[in-house]
This record gives sequence, C-alpha cells and structure tokens, in this order.
Amino acid sequence: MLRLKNVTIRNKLILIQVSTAFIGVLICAAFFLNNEINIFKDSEVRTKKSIAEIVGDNLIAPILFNDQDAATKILSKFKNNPAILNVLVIDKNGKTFAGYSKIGEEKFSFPKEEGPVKSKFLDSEFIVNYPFFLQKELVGTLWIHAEFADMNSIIYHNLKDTLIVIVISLLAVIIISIFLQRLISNRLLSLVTKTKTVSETGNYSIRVSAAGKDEIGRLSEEFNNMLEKIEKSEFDLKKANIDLEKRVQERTADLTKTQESLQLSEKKYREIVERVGDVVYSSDYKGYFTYFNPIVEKLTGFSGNELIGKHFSVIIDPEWKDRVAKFYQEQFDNRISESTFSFPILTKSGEKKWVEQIVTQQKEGDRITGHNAVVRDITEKKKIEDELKKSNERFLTIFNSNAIGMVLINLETNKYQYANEIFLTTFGYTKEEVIGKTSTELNIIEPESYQKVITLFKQQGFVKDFEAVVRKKNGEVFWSISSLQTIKINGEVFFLSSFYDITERKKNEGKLKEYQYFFNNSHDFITISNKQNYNEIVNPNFLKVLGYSEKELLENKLTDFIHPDDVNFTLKEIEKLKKGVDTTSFINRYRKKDDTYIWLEWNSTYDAVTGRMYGAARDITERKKSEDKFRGILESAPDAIIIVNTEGKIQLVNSQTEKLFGYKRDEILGKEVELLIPARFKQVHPGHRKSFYADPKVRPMGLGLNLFGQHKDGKEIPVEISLSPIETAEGLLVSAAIRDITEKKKVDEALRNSELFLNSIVENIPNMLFVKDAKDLKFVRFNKAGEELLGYSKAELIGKNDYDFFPKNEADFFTSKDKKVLESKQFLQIEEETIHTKYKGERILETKKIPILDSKGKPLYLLGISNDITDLKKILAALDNKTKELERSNKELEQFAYVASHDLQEPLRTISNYVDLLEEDYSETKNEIIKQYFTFITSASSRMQILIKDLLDFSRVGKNPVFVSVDCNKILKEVIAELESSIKESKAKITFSVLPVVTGIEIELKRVFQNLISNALKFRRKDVVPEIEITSVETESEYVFSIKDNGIGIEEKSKSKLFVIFQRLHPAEEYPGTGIGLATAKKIVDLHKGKIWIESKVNEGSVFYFTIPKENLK
Amino acid sequence: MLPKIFFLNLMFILAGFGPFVQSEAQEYDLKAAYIFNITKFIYWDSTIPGNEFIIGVIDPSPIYEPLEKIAKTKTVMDKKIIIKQFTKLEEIDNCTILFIPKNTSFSLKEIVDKAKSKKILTISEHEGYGKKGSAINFVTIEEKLKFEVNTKTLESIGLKASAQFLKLAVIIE
Repeated sequence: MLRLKNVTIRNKLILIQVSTAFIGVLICAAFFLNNEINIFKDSEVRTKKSIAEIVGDNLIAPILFNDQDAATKILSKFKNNPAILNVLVIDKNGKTFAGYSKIGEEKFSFPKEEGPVKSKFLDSEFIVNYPFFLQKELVGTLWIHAEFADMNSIIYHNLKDTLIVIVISLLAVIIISIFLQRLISNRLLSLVTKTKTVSETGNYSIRVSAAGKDEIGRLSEEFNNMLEKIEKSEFDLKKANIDLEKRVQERTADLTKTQESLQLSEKKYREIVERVGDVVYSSDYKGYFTYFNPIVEKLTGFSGNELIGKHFSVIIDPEWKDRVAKFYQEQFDNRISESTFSFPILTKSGEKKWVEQIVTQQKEGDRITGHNAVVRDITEKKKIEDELKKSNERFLTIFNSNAIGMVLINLETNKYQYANEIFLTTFGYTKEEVIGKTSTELNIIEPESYQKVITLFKQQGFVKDFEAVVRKKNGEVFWSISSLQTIKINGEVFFLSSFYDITERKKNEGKLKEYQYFFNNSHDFITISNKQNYNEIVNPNFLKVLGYSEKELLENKLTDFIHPDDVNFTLKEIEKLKKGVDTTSFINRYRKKDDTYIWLEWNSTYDAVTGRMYGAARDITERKKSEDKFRGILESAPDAIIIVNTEGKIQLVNSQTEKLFGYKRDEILGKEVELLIPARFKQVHPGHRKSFYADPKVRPMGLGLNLFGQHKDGKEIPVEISLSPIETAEGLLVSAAIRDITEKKKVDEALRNSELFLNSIVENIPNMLFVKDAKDLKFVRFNKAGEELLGYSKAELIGKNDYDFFPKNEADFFTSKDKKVLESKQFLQIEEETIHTKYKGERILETKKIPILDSKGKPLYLLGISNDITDLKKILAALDNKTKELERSNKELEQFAYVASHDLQEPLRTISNYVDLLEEDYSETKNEIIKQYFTFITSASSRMQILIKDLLDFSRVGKNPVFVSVDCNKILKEVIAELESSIKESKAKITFSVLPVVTGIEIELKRVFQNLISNALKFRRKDVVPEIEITSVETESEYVFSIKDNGIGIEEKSKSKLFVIFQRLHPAEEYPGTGIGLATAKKIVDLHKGKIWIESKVNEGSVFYFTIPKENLK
Repeated sequence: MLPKIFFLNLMFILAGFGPFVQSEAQEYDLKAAYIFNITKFIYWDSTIPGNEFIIGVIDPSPIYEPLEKIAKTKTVMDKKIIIKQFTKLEEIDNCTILFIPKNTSFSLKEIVDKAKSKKILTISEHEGYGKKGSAINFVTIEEKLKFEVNTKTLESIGLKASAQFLKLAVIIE
C-alpha cells in the first residue's frame, strides 16, 4: 500500500483507469452473455408457446368430438422440431387425450407448472403449457417439454469474443490515460497560481483562461464569475451614492411645490366650505362662534354676522340646552377630537329644527384651540325617523297582539330576539326559554323542513305560506303555515318568522279530499246548479253516463236535457225547493248524447242563500224497466192484485182491482184494506191481518174459505184470495191476489146440476152401468140397476174388482175384455156373457164396454153398460120354437094347398068337361036362363081352373129349386111372345134395356116377369095406350129390375096388401084376377133372397122393383 | 368353486365389450354433447332473432333428455337454449337446429325441404341421410361416433362451419 502511495498521480491514474476498464469490460461481457442466454431462452420459450397455441387451437375440435386419431395426427407434426421432446394433451377433466414423444426420448412425466426443468447444470430443458378455450370455456391444455438446443455453442462464441474485446480495450485505456492525465494536471497548476496573485494584489480584474467544460474548466469559470461579481458590486455602490444625492435635491423641490399647492388648496377649500349645503362654522375653545359660512342664514334665519361672537347654545332648543352642553363638555374633557350629535335648534323665527352637528376639535399640541363644525339640517330625516319609530312601535304592537305566532330572529346568529304571546302560548314556552335560542335548538321545526325554508329564502328572499309540521315544547306536533322574511325594526334588520296553526285546515283539506273522491267516484250523479237552472258542477259519472262533454252540460240549461214531458213537473219540484221544502225527490228522464233517455231518481236540496240547487240522482232506467215489466205483469194478471203493508194500508193495486171493486186507484191507495171488506168482517179482519204478518206464509187460493169482498156500491162479491208475503226494502208487504168467483160459483152450480142430472140418468137407467179405473180395473162407479142386478151395494163394489165378486173364469173373461178395450181404445160389444149374481143366480148379459180417454188419448176409465138379457133370451128361445112350429105348419099348409089344388084339378076338369058336353047338348036352347047358367058355370069353372093353377103355381114355387145362369133377356123375350095377344089387344108399347144374366131358377124368374108385365097390361087406364118399360140396374151386390107402367097406379094405403095372397084391390069385374100373381112373384123373389116393392101414384102409373142378389145359392 | 377359466372368460367379455357396446343412454349423451359442440363450430347468422336458441327434436327420441340437461347450463351465442319436441312438421318453423331421430315418422325429404326453406340446420343419425340432404348426419365408423357434413345443404341454408370442424367430418358434396 505504501508503495502505491509513492506512485505519482499520473501513474496512479493510469493504473486506476486500466484496472477499472478491465473490470468494466469483464462485467459487461458477463452481462452480455447472460443477457444473450436469457434472450435466447425467452425466444425459445416464446416460440414453443406460440407453437403450443397454434397446435392447441387445432386440437379443440378433435377433443370436443373425441377424435383422438385426428389429435395424434396433429401432434405427430412435432417430429419436425427436434427441440420438442414431449407433448401431452389433457382434456378439461384432466384426462390425457393424446400425446407425443420424440423418438428415443424417455416418457416424460410433466410437473404441474410450467417453467425450466432443473435437473441439469444449466436449465437446458423447459416446459410450457397452453390451455385452450372455445367460447371462454376450457377445452383442454397442451403441455410441451422442449430443450434449448444450440445453447452451448452460443456460450462458446460469446466467451471468445469477450476475450478479444478485453485485450483491445485494455491497450486503448493505457494510451488514452497517459494523454489525459497531462491535460488535467497542467490546468490545475495554472488555476492555483492565478488565485494566489488575486489574493495578494486585490486586483479583481484578473481572469483565469478557461478552456474546456470539464470540472476544471467549470472551476476556472466559477472563479472568473466570482471576480466579476466583486468588481460589479463595487461599481453599483458608487452609482447608488450619486442617485441618492440627486433624489434629495428633487424631494426638496417637490416639498416647496406641495406647500404652494397646499396654500392654493386651502383657498379652494374655503370656497367649497362656503358653498356646501351644510352649515360650517368655527368656534373658539369655549364655544363662541368665530366663523360661519353663508348657509347659516338659510338654516337658522340668523346671518353669520349676527351670530359671530355668540355662544353656540343661543340657538339650541332650550329643552336640549343642558343635554347638549353636557355632551360637549364630555367631549371636551375627554379630548375626543371628533363627535357627532343631533339636537333641535330654534331658528330666528322660533321654528324648531333638528340638526346633526359634527364637531372637530382644533388642537395645538394638547391644547384645544377651537372647534370646527358642520351642521346639517336633519329635521326631515328626524321626522322620518320618528315616523319609523312610531311604525316600529305599531309593528311591535301588532307583533305582540297578533293572532299569529311570530318571532323575530337575529340575522347573523339565527337566535330568537322576540317572540309574541301567541307564539309562546301556541308552543308552550315562556319568553325566557326561547329568547337567545335558535329554531334548531328548540327543535320547533324538522331539520328537512328547516333546510327547505332556508333554501327557499335564499332563492327568493322570503318564504311564504310554507306548510310544515312544527313541534311544541311538550312534543306535540301540529301543521303550521309559516313565513320567513326580513324586517327592519328601529333600523335593525331581523328575520320575522310566523307560525299559524292550520291543523284544522289540514283536517278539513283531508275531508275535502274525501269529499272530492266521493264526488269523483260516486256512481250516482251529483250536480250543483244555479238560480238560472244551469248546471255549474257535475260529477264525472254524470258526464260518463250521459255521454256529454262537461262544456256541453254546463253551457246549456239543465231543462234542455230533460225529456219534454218531464220538464214541467221538474220545474215544479224546483219551485217547491225554492219555496222552502227541504228536499224533494222526483223521477225524470234525461236525454243522453245518443238521444236515448235514462230515468233518473233525484234527491235535491236548495240553498236559499246562494240560490244553488244540490242534486244527486241515480240511474233507475233498469229499475224502471223492471218496474214497468212488473207493472205490466201486474196489470195483465187476471186477478185483482193488492199489495198491503204491515199497517194494512194499500200500497199498490192493479186495474183488475179497480174493475172488481169499482174504486179508482186514487180512492184506495193508502187506505186501509178493510175498505174492501164487507161490514160484517171489518171487525175481525185486522186481527187476521196481524196474525198473518206474525207468521207470513204463502196461502194459495181455493182453500174453500168463504171469502167476500165489497164493491164500492156495497154489493158483496164472493172471492178467493191468495196471499204471499214480499220482503222489500220498505219492510214486509203482502200481495193479495183476489179472484172474483161469482161466475165460478154459477158454473159450479150448473156443474152440480148437470152432475145431478147425469147422476139421476145413470142411476135410473134400467141397464147396469159401471165404471172401472183403467189402472187397476177397480170399480169407481155403479148405478142402482147394477146394484139390483148383482145384489151388491155400491159401498161393497166401489174400490173392488171383478175377482172380489165373481168366479175366477168369469172374472178372467171380464178382465180380458176390459184390457182389450183399454188397449185398443175401442168400443166393444159383448153379445153374451154370464155372470153370477148374489141373489139372482146366473144371469146373461149383453155388455158394451167403452174406453174413456183423457185429453191426450190415454185411457182413464172403462165404462160398461150391461143389459140383462136372460129373460129376453128365454123369450127368444120360445119365439124360435114358435117360428119353427109355424114354419112346419106353413109347410104342411103349403103341402096341403098343393095337394088340395092338385087334387081339385081333377074334379074341376071333369065338371068342366061335362059342362062343355052339356052346353053342346043345349046349344040350341032358347032358354036364356039356361044359357046364362052355362055361362056362369063355364066362367066359374074356368076361374076355378085359373085359381087352382095359380094356387098350384104359388105353392109349387121353391119346390124344386135349381139355380142356374139365367139370361133375363131371353126369358123376357119369351114372356113378351107369350103375351103377344094381350099386348096387341091393348096396343101396349113395351120397351126394355139389355138385362143381365143372373143366377136363379129360370122358370120362376120368367113367372115373375110374366106376372109383373101382365099385371101392367091389366091395370091400364082406359083410353091410355099402355107403355111398359123394363130396365135393370146393377149395384154392388145385386141387380135391381124395374117394370114401369103408366097404368092406374095404386093408393099408398093399399101398398101393404099388394103382395098378400088372395088380396084383390079391385073388383074382379073390372080387373079379373086371382090375387095370387103378386104373392107368387114375391114368393119367388124371396126364394132368390131378393126384395120386391112398388112405387106408385094413382092415375099416373106404378113401378115394380125387384132385386136378385149377384151371389146366389146354387 | 367356479373354475378359474370362468373368471377369465368373464373378464375377457367385460374387457372386450365394454368400450364398444355403449348403452343407448350413453350414445345419446354423446350425441347431445356433439350437437352442443357443433353449435360452436357453425358460424351462425348473428341476426337470429330473439333470446332463444331453439333445438327441435321431431318425433320422440332419447336425445331429448340429455339435450334438456345441456340446455339448463349452457348457452349458444349468449342465447338460452330451448329444446322443443315436435310432432308436426308445421311446428319446426322457429327452431335453429332440428334433430331427426333414426326412426322418424316423417319422410326425410319433407323434413329436409322444409328445413331448407326455413334455414334450419338438420342433424340426423341414420346411415345415408347425409347423402339424402341432412346437413349433418351422425354415423358410426369403426365403433366411433362420427358425423357426415353435407356441405351443399349447409351452403343452401346459408351456414358455414369452421374448417377445424369440417376436418373431422366426413364431407359429402
């Protein structure tokens, strides 16, 4: 170390510089190398990271779609990058999805974090990872394990370069430092030499030659600067001395000038003083005037000359003299140099004026030499002040006597200065409690409200009608309307705050709101109208329902909206109100905007003072409709309907009531219902009424009560009454339906009579008559004949059936027939049925059974009418026997007639033959008598012959009945041919139509034609050519033949005898005949089951008809 | 005692069949997940109206439940996923994706035509449906679930799929 001390600065410097340079270069080289390696590593890591990013993004789809093949394929591309040793793909669940390892590389187990692998001397391997996302969702992570390839060669190259740099730089440092050390030491030496010279000579103008801007250069420069400053300050000092002298001279000149101008200004001042509006005066120290300006005359009436030399007190108002003197004495004693004082003076004319005097003491040293004063006329001001004072006093009076609580508050401190009585009583404080406190301290007003007030005040300079809740001393709160304003009292400015209790008003406002709500939301109509009948206020619902705008409704007279028919009485109702009726209720119709009308029920009141009408109405259109409907129903009801209230007063009647009782509606409404009741019931009826109301129940009509009403004319009316209670808003009402049963009674009577009538028929009819119930065939009715026949009484029979009385077989029979009738609903005739009676044994009945149906055709009853034909049967049986007997005897008779006539022919023929012989023998005789006898005998025998023949024919009819087809045309022609001679003789005209072929006995039918035609020829009228017409008509079942002539005809009465055997209607002399012909014809027609009859008129002709049935026995 | 060979066989069977024989439920869990993943690789028209991304399933399919499960937690384009079960072709109008089950009762052509007209992405799961016009068709290749993409259909409904996605798909042109 010592050795080093002795080394020259020059060499020291060189050594320092060389070693420093070496170390510097070495550090630099190391730093650069390290830097190089770091940059290399960073870039490697970044490269791998970006490879990871690219590959990772490509792996998103394979992972999401689980395509390991695709992933592996992508990873296989790493083989082109030998630095990459291992790659691993992990899905979001941490599971290995795919991997890659460089060939020959061991399987690598990846740590959990990325970074260098710390296994070798240098960090030659590292790991990066890249988590890849799809739409912010982790899909997987790619891990890459790689090595820093080529790092060793980089290090080697860097070391080599560093060595070369060190050698070169050291050489350079040695050369430069040798040169530089000389530069420094030379200049230092020169600086030291110069410093010494300056300090010795005191010559500050010496300068160091300053070269270069290094420290030595700067040191030289500073040295020079220092010298320069010293030199300059010496010069400045000299200059300042010269200036000072010059300024003293100037100041002296100025002073002279000022004095001159001062004199000038005094002169001016005096002029000003003499011309100002105020009195200016001077006085000596005792107060005697020494000077006045001319204004004094104006103020006092005295001239300046009059006053000069007088004491100032002469013009002062005597009352004030002492006070003024005292004031100024004080001023004087206390040496107060300036004072102002106001006092009244008396002018020359004795007028009192107020002045304000400003006095300035003139002093010489401490001694007062006199006074200067300015006096101003303040009379006007004083007056104003007085006024102000008075007004302030008045204010205070008001303030204290006001009904409104008021306080005066100090502007700055916000403290209460005054509070009036009302405030104190309202808030419950004493004066002492509030004065000096603020609102906030007293907690009179809520802080928010207070803030609001303050804000408002700041905005507009006052606060008016501020509503707030304020608090009393006892904590009670109330609504107050407050104001805050500034007020000047006695020249002092305060806040005036007032409080007015509006709790009541608030309450009323609330009520008003309720009213308003009610008004706006009421479903009723509310209007207020004026004297002129204009609506002034209407509620919304009124507008809504009517459909008008408010304007329309208010600008037209209210009568314009009322139905024309209702206007008059509406106005009458309004008049009533105006005349002093409290309220009126009425109903009218209002027209809506759409020109329809609604019914309104009004309740109105009237305010006589304002002339306003207050109306509330309700839409009762629906009610009206239903009322009308109800009224319609009521009116159309067939019964008289009366509605009565609990007092028995009639509330409502319909027109039927008017009709029934003969009263007009107005006559009975509101009257007691007993009006309509006959006098004999009037006493008891109210009792009935009350008991009904006590237990109101519907009482139907037709309970068989014998009730009567009374007509207006006093006539009693039989009635039926139904009662039903009606619960209504007005209480219980009773509706009575009253039916006039006069007619009904008559009808009942008639019905009863007709029933009686029918009953007597039923009862007295000889046939048994019974009625059975269709349901169970039990007897419901039995007549007397029935009782007699069956031997059972009605009482026994009714309600029983056949099985209760008759043997089963009979009952079965009856019942089966009954059922048949009821089922078929048809009448049934039972010709015969046997029945066992109680006393008469078995009887035979002929019964008719008739179903009795109801209006719908359903069987209700079975009516039976039975005829006891037991006796008839017996008679008929007897008759039958008789007939048979008769038939037999007839047959025998016929047989006898036949046999007789047959047997009679023989002797007759013999007689006839012998008579002929006799006649021949006596043909010459002239004996007329004999001849006559012969004639008689011959004619008698021939008649006899004819008679017998006819008789034989008659009796032969039906003897040998052979029915064949018979052509009537043929037999008619044969008949005409046989009768030809008589036809010719009589010149008869015979016409005929085509006749049918019938079934019958030919010969017999021919005989019928023969008999009838010959009959027609025989009974002709004399002188009339006989005309005979034969026709036939075919009917459904038979042929009707007719033989019409124009002969003599026959009397009606004789017709019955016509077809009787041996009956002759005419003497044989006129019309010969046996009286058998028509009987024979009849017998033949009978045989053919036909009929024969005649229609005839005397002297006009006859028509014989006979019929032959189509279907005939063969 | 059961012979050892039995266990060996059993193990063999279990080992052999396990990975390949997936249960139907697993299959559809996977398909549902794939459908959700597919939505991420389709460049959707950002102007799809409404706040709902509707995936329709025409005819009943076991995919409905796994889709519902996904819909509860996931979104597509920040839209809520709504799974709708359709039984009529007219109902599919508003969906964005329509899943066509194997056993659909509708003719594929009708569905595809209707879907094309409504710009609906059809996803089917039937061999050959890709060729027949279904935009995406799940197929099983070497026992792995893959999908066919009919690029024409995709183009006709105006959608583009990411290249990454298409790389994994069997492309049908």
